[in-house]
Amino acid sequence: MTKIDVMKKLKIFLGSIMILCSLFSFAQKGTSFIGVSGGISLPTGNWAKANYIVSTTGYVSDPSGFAASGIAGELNGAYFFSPYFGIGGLINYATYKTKDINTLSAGYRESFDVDQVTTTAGSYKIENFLAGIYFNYPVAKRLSLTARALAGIAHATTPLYTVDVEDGGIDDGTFEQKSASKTAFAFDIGAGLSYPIINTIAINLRADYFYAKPDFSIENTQRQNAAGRYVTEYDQPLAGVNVSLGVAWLIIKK
Amino acid sequence: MQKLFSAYKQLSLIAIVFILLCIGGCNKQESTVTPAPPSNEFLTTVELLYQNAADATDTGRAIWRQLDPTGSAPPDTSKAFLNLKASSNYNVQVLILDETKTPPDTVSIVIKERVNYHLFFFQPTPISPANLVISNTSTDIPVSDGTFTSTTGPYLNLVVTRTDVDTNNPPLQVGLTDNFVTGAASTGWLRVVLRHQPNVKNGTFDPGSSDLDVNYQVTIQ
Repeated sequence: MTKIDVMKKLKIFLGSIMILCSLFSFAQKGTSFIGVSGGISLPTGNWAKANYIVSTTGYVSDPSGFAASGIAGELNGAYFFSPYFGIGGLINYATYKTKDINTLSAGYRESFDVDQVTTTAGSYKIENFLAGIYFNYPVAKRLSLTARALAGIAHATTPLYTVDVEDGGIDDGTFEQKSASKTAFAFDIGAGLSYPIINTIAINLRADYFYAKPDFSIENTQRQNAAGRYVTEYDQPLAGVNVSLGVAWLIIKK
Repeated sequence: MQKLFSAYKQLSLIAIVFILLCIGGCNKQESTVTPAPPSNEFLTTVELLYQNAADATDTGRAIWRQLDPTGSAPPDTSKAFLNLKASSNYNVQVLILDETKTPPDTVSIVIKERVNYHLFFFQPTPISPANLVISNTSTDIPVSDGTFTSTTGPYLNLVVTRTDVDTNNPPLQVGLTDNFVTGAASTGWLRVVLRHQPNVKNGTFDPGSSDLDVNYQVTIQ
């Protein structure tokens, strides 16, 4: 996705928000808030797959991302200009370790037919900067249903993989799949429940679907012979579900 | 006001815990050591199948055999002979078997599937220092890896070139098929070494380790 595409999508999204703002600008205001939350992030699709790749006759590119369930946290806030609708945004950070590293390592070991492979893997990291519409609807005396639709940019970083090859008692060196970073359009939609424990503090439980599709260009070093998993581009969606628990400071009381 | 201050404190505490959790979750690396499963494949037999390029009836099979996988018993070299005609050109194929299996397993098929990090070397001896060529296309083995050169001779008049290449980019030689060119009548030895060079194959002898290292007696007449 080019920068122009990202800007175009952002303009459409922000334009939609402005139209909604004007529709509700004369209504009674709801409760604005600033909050923090954290929870688990569950990757989906190819990004979460961990394929066993063996190739002795050439390189094999593989869409599986080996992303384990991660942790995510965010700082968010919204200004409610009507009883039910507000505008706001979030800054979110999530990190995902490499899962099934034994599968990755065994694939390299078998591809090079060696006595031992030592594989070290870092983590995916994603930072989101999103803005959009917030919705809040009371479903009981103190319990509210909340929802949001946000869009913006995500800055994502892939893990560094280091593979050390040993055979016949000789260390045959180390090769690396370098870490790569890219910024891309991202969105987040989700819903949850909000319960004020005191007048100014509410507890939020929510689930959000997030999506970004950075097209990473990945550098590999010390790959001398054509064998095994070899990823030079990764353009799979980084998508999944965040389940989070958080607290919010309620700024404007009705 | 006091309630507001308390709310601030609670929120700050949660934020700090959250940030610490995030920092704790960052930058930790996963690491694993993957050893090979116990192997039941042995390289017991190395055969050189040769055929005179100008005379299809001039063929031979030199066999080096070691059926004891521990290597404690001496190898069977009773058939490890090449009888070649002088001033001739031979097409040669290397066949590697595991004869501990019934029927014998053809290991050279596996080598062929893994040519990108395997490389054969063929060292005729005696050889003069001037004729020992160390390069990424030569089949010669460096002196530092066991080749004895002789300044006096007589020399074995045999030149070996590999005729197959792998799928690396650029392609590198392999040595499962070869060309032997003989000169004048002479005798000597031919050392055959298979180097396993995982991700370090560059055409030279030194990287990696040896999967096999065998010797044949050669007679050129």
